[in-house]
This record gives sequence, C-alpha cells and structure tokens, in this order.
Amino acid sequence: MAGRQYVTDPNTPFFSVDDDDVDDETFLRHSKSGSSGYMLPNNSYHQRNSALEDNRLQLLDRKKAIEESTLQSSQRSISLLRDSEQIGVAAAEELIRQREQLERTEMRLDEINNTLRFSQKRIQGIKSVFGSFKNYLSGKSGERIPGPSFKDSGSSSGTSKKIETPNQLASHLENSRENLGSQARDHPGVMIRDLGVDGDTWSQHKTSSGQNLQNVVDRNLEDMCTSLSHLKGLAEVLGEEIDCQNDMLDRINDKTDKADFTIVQQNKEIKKLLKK
Amino acid sequence: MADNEQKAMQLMAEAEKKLNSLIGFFGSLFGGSSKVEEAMECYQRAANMFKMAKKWGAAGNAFCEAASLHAKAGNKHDAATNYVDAANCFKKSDPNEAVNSLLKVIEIYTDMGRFTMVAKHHQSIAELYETEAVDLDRAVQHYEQAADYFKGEESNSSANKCMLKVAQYAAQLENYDKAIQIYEQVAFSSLESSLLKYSCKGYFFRAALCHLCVDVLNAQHALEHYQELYPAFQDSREYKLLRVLIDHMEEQNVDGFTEAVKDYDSISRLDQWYTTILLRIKKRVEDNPDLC
Repeated sequence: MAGRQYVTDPNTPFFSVDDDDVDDETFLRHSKSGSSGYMLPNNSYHQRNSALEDNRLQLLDRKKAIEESTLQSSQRSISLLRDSEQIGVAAAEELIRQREQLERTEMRLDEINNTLRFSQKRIQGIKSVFGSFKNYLSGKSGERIPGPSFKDSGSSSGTSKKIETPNQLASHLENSRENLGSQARDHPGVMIRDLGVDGDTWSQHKTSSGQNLQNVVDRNLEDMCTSLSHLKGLAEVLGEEIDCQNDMLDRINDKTDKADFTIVQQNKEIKKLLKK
Repeated sequence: MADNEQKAMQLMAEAEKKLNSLIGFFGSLFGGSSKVEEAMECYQRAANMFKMAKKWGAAGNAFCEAASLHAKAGNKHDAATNYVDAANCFKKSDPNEAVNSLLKVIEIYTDMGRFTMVAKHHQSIAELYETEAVDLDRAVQHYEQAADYFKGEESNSSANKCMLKVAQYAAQLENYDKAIQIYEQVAFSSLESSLLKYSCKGYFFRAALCHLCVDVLNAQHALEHYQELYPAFQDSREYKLLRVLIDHMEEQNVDGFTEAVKDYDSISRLDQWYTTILLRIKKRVEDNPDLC
C-alpha cells in the first residue's frame, strides 16, 4: 500500500510524512532511476538535469525544423527564379517580333509620305498655272531624299544599339561568372553559417547531417546567384530594347500624324478642284 | 436580340432583291453599279446585325456574300476584309467554313502580293487546325507555309515562331530528324542576338532530347557541339539533367532516370511535350537491353 503511493507519485521529491516505513522488499524491487520517489537527496539534481535535457532536445528539434524550412524556401526561390527567367525569355522573343513589325510600319509610313508628296505636286500642278510653274522651278530633285534618311537613321540606330549590347552583355556575363565564386564566399549568410559550424560544440553527433544540409543550402544559394545574374542581364537588355522601341513608336506617331494631316488637306483641295 | 435578327433578315432580303433587279436590261445599264454597291452595303449591315444577335453562321454567310460582290466588282481589298470578317464569325460556329474563308483571303492577298498578310492568315488557319478542328498534319503544313512567307518578308522572329511549332508537332509525330534540324537552326540563329541568347538553352535542350529519342551517341556529340558554341549552356540545369540522363541510359538505370526527371520537375515544371518525349526515351531504355 505504502509502495503504491510512492509509485503513483514519482515526481514528488518529498514523501508523505505519514508513513516513514518503507517496505524492504518494495524498496529493493524499486530501481534506481532518477524519477523514482525513493531516491532521497539526489532527486532534485536529476530533476534539473531532465529539464535541461528536455530543453536541449526541444532546441535541437527547432534547429532541425528551421533548417528544413530554409532548405525548402531556397528550393522554392530557385524555381521561382527560373520561372521568371522563362517569362523574361518569352517576353524578349515577343519584343523582337514587335520590333520587326514597328520597323516595317515605319518603312511603309515613309513610302506613304513620299507618295503624298508626289500627289501634292500633282495637285499643285492642276490647281493653277502658277502652281505648275512652281513645280517646274522646284524640279524633281527634292523629292526622294528625306524619306530614306529617316529609314536609315531609324534602322542604323537600331542596329548600332544591337551591336553595342552583345559586347556589353558578353562582358557582363563574364564578370558575373567571375564574381560568382567570390560572391558565394562573401555572402554574409554563408559566413555566419561557417562560424556557426565551428562554434557548435554541443551537438557534435549531429554535425555530419547538419553540414550536409549546409552544403545543399550553399549550393542552392549559388544557383540562385547564377539565376539572379542571368535575370539582371536579361532585364537590362529588355530595358534597352523597350527604350529603343519607345523611340521608334514616337517617330511612327509623328509620321502618322503628318500623313493624316496631308491626306485631309489633299482631300479638301481635290474636292475644291472637282467642284470647279 | 430577336428584333436584331429580324432586321438582319429583312436587310438580307432587301439586298437579294436589289441584286435580282439587275436582271432587266435597263436596270444594268442605268443603276447597275450603284445597285451593286447598295446591295453590298445591305449585306454588310445585315451581317453586323447578325453578329449583334450572335447568329455567327448567318453573319458569316452575309459577309461572304458581300465579299463575293466586292470581288466581282474588282475591289480586292474590301473583298479580303469581308472574307476575314466572315472567317472571324465562322470561328465561333463552324471551323471548316472559317478555314474556307481564310483560304479565299489568302488567294486574294497572294494575287496582290501582300505576303505578310498571307503568312499571318496561314498562321491563323494552322492555329484553327491546332485547337478547334484538330488536324495536326494540316496544321503543320500551314505553319510551314507561314514560316516560308515570313522568311520571304524578312520577319525572322515570326518565321522562327512558326518553325518552332512545326518542330514541336514533328517531334510528337515521331519525325525526330526534322525537329532536330529546326531546333538547331533556330538556336544557331538566336545565338547572334543579344536578346534571344537566353532562349538558346531551351532550344538546345529540346534538340538534345530529340537526339536522345534516336540515338544516345548522337546526343552526346550534339551536347559537346552545343557546349562549344554556347559555353554558358554548361552551367545550366538543363545540361546537368541531360548528362545525368545519358549516364543513366548507358547504365540501363530506369529508376535513376525517373529520379532525375522528378528532381528537375520539382524545380521547374515540365510541360506536356517534355513529358511525352521523356516517356518515349524511358521506354527506349526499358525495351532496348543493349544500347552499345
């Protein structure tokens, strides 16, 4: 009976004062474990030890959880970066198609403007005798020149930009590849982890798997570095292309406005002539 | 909606009446051309009303009638525009009719020499065959024609876009040599442009996978060749995956193969085309006991 009381309440370091007599047999049968109520003065010491042990286990679990989540988040980051790269690549292809269309539009607008200039001359000739005299004087020289110059300036600025960017890009890629090694080493996260591994004397038996994890995370970080530098290069080139196309669009806008205005005017003049 | 349709039917009837009234001798002498023009206009208005009432088939027919009148009168541009409108209406109801209308448009534009538009319409027909009236052979045919016309007009990126589709379907239909040729060609021409460089590794990856479907040794040679041309290819995940796959294939290790593919898939998703091709490669490994 007395034994049962002690067994059911193992954590109390103090016995009930009622019954000092312990059965010899139960005493002998009871093992010398730290949580037993029979152990007299050593009990509190083991108690503290077990609390510390629990704490330690808890912290180790948390460490593992954090490492797991770091690894997973680094993997997610890599896949996101690759997705961005794919999207950027598709955008680049679309942009180039657009550029071709814009160039063709500009060419056609130049042709339209030229044709309108011709028709303007004809209309002037029809309008009046003075008109045809003016035509004769101005001659056929000043007709074709302005058009091709626009075309050439447009396409040459486009191609010169294209020639610039491969050199820039090639040097950029080389730089990024050189920096990659030093970048990985200088990265603050990596440095802290290095210190962490050295100063971690506690969980020696866990270092091997811990370091494996460190290596994987390091490799992932390097991959992320490469992806990011790729993305940066891609973004720069995309930005330049868009700037160039913006300029083209402005020019096209101007030319379209001019053509529109000229057509309206010529329509009016022809209507007047027809009524006459 | 219902009275739009009724109005449209009325307009169609009016237009037909105007056309029929031309039969008389005096009719054709005096009011001939203006009657035809009025009829054309009636047909167009009728077609628009049908569109508002969402009767796509009737709208398409009305546009076709207007277009044929324009063609007879010699207004090729207007005829072509009307046929394009007809095709758009038919797309929603009957893809085959849409294809017919587009073919007529192509005829007209080829006569006029507007090859860019011809190419664009070939591309539209090919897309129709791809999605609505699934007929991969004809889709491939039209994509090829579109690519030829685009190349003729120096729109290389649009041409490349069409050729890539051709290669995709060629590989699906097991015509690997053609696919390899196209992918390599597009990749080599993309190398020279600063923007398109980034898409090269995708093309090399696809070409290498098609090589793997045919012969492992070829694939290895090809990989080395690509590496020489584009050194950055070596650092990419695709190259690493290809190396691992080749090693597993030489060792007949199907599980390792699957493992590597799953690994790559967890980082960047492989779409249906890749999955099909990889499955075929895997089957080759399983069927062929000796690859040497």
